Amino acid sequence: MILTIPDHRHLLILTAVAHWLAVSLYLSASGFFFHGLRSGKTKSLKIGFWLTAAGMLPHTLALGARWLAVGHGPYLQKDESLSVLAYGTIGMFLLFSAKSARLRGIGTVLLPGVLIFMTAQLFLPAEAGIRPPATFNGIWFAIHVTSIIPAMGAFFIAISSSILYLWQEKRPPSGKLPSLPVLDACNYKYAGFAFILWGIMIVAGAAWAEQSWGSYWSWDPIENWSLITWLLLGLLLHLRRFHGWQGKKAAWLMVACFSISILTLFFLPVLTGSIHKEYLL
Amino acid sequence: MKRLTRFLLSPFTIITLITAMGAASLMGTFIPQSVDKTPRFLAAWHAANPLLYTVVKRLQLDRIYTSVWFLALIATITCSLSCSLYYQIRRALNAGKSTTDHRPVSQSTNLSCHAAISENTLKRIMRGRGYHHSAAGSSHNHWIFSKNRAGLWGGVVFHLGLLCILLAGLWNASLRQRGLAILTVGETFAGQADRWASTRTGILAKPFKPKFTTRLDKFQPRYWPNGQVKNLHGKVTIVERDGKNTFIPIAVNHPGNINGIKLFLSGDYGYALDLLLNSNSAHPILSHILLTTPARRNDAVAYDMTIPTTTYRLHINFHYNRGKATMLLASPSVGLTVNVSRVPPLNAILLPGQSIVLPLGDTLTFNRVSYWTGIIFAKSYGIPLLYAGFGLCITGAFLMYMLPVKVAYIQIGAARPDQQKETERLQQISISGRTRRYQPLFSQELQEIAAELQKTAPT
Repeated sequence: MILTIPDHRHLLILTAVAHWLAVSLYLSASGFFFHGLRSGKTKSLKIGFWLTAAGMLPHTLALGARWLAVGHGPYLQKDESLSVLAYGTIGMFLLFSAKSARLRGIGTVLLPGVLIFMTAQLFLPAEAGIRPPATFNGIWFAIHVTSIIPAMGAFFIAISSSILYLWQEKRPPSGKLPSLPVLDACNYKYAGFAFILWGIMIVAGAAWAEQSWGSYWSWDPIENWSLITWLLLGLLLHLRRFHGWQGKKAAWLMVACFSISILTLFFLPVLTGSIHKEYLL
Repeated sequence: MKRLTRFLLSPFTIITLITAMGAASLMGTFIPQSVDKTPRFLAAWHAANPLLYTVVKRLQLDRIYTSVWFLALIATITCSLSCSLYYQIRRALNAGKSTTDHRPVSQSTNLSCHAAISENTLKRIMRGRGYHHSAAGSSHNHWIFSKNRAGLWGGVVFHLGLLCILLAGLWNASLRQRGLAILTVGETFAGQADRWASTRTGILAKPFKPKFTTRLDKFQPRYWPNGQVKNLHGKVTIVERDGKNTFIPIAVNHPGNINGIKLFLSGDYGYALDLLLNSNSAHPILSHILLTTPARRNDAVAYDMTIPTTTYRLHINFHYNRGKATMLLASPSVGLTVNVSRVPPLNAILLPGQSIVLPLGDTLTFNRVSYWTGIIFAKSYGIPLLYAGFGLCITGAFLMYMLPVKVAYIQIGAARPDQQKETERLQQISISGRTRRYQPLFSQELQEIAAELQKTAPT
């Protein structure tokens, strides 16, 4: 995590301190969410919500300090990408759960997932002084790398709803959690949201490619798998609309969509030759 | 015709088509595609898997995205989308007209609360939640409120966008012309077929021959302090058939445009060396050597070659700036090791313009060094349609999933006869609603409306 650029040493130390402060607050929030879910106490869920919101402050500081230190946005190296994806996910969760307090229990699944992202940074090599390649400029590039952040946020909320649905389905109704139909509707709504944002990411990427290489679609493996993820989301939405796929089946399909999105973003670039290879994990 | 329409519109067909598209993309990842792989790789793959190769070749799986079956799939999706769009437009128009009808409520939530509430208060509360009153549907005790009416058109807009993308894709796949030419600074390219490094054209496209000549006047890479490439800039002169000259700057992400043909810097570049061999017994031989870029800016680039029609074997170590390595010279230089049979190797360092006498009496001159780069010439079709499709697709998806249409029906029952004053009357209020998406969330919203009505009303 700590890079060694002498001129920006202080900023990078600040980044590391703020990062781990944010992780501690998110970890505490997870505990409260879990307690709230087990006991049915809304006060615990409320504390969890406010701790998560408090964690966003050092997280913002960490991202900002790092931006200043390395001279580019958090889109170039693997560790900073993970951090900004976690940031976007938490931001979206706060927006989502501020409106409907009953749905804060979703944080029980969502926050540990985000913490995995933030802790994974520890195990990734961080190289000092990496600079953006020549193609990394323009409005389409900015939209391309920005839209993935809320897209992953929407994916995380949808998958968290699905996992809670599958977990709760096997238990007698306790009244502590949101009802099954509400969780199912959350899954549907955020799958739709992820569909839009993932679509924007693909579209902006295609426009950027057209601007850079004169070809908006090259059937590159990462492009293909992004398309597959988007088609799978489209399939999920069509199955819900036409075939009445709801509840358990829809939740499992969401799990598949999420797994493929993670595979596309983090693992395929390592396994296949791709023009995205040098930019992704 | 009706059967065909029914087939194209059936949910089963739509889901099968989406799945087939996904499967095609999946196969394209795992099966080596001939456009991405070198002939050597394909030959080795053929030798290793002869049976699989035959099947792949027969089914055109080695060029999935230009195969007959993939184009048939795209054509079927286009037909299905067109039919679906026609019926969606009809349905949206009908739904638009029937906002105020009293059709049975398909997705309904019936709630009751007791409140004495005036029409104005009711309208104010609903307006605060973003609902609009449908005046024509009102009777003295029955109101219809709707929200996100634009959402009715979400499906139409989204599918229209998809159709635009597919049509633009088909158009482009049929007629596009694309070619890569390697040019050294000062070199001219007139689009001759044998000078393309590679070309890719659409199924119905003619061979690519731009109607102008291109000369690369300037090329300059710029670097970050750590030696990474920061940007690539170039300048080309376009000479049209009528003799008109146009100077165009090109850079990465900033292509030049001439008569609808875009010129992109490919991102590949390196050093081009000219070595001239003057022999006493034959004509001079010019070797034009293209070196790839070193991993780091000041690293040496090594290259081995035999000068054509001679026995001289050269090992070249090119330094763009030898000053970094030796502290002596600060200009491009060639470190040469010349081998000829039965003669000890000759070592030398040459600057541009310098010569050495070789063991057999010939003279080798390092004539000049310049940059070479790849320029992509691309003529695409349907790009505005494609961008319009992108825009429509995103707008439609937003309307569908973020702004689903909601219709709330509120009925106020008669007050009990024992209550005389109008303000004190407690009325039975029934709230029901209809929406296509997120019914449980809508149901919660209706409950909140009921609670708000009850809270607002005097008790």
